[in-house]
Amino acid sequence: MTLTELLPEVMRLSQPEKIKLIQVLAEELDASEDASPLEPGKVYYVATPYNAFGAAQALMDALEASSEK
Amino acid sequence: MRFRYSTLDPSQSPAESLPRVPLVLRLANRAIEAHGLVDSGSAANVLPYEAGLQLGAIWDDRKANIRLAGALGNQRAVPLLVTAEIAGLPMVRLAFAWIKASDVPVVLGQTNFFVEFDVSFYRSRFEFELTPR
Repeated sequence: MTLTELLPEVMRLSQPEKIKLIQVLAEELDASEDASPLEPGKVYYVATPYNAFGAAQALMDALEASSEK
Repeated sequence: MRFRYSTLDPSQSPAESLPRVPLVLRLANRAIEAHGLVDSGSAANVLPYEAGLQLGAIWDDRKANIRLAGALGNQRAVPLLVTAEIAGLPMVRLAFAWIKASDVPVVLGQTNFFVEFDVSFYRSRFEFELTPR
């Protein structure tokens, strides 16, 4: 069966059935490693210094002290 | 759709709030609720180790074929494809770099959260907006 033949049948499904179909297809794609947009062997850079609230507060303090002068 | 910046710990001041979006992550028949940090400075989505385990993923060193560098140190990661639901927005499929570390947030980065959503930040109002692509 082709997609063209299948589509009218799919369109007749109820909304909950359509959502379930999307989930089933998404899970099937999940199983395919080739579908990942993350490329094997590539280095992904994470720039954000997480949980650096102390540094953020120190910068705010410096800005406030500067504006008071 | 607009969201408020938030803190995870009541002891934190409002100034420490960040753009976090509540979402449900699904893998096979497992689901977890999480708050994803919307982070334009991250090249990839990042999933902490515990969250991956709760989704039923099994760590396999042989599948750790991508690498993270920068603030999280240099570490290998397993690509994990997960369905993500954000209330009021279409369901999307996100690729996470699953790392063997738990002291990190769920990070929503350029690949591929920012591919799926256009993001606008309104820090002066403690708001951010997500628009499906």
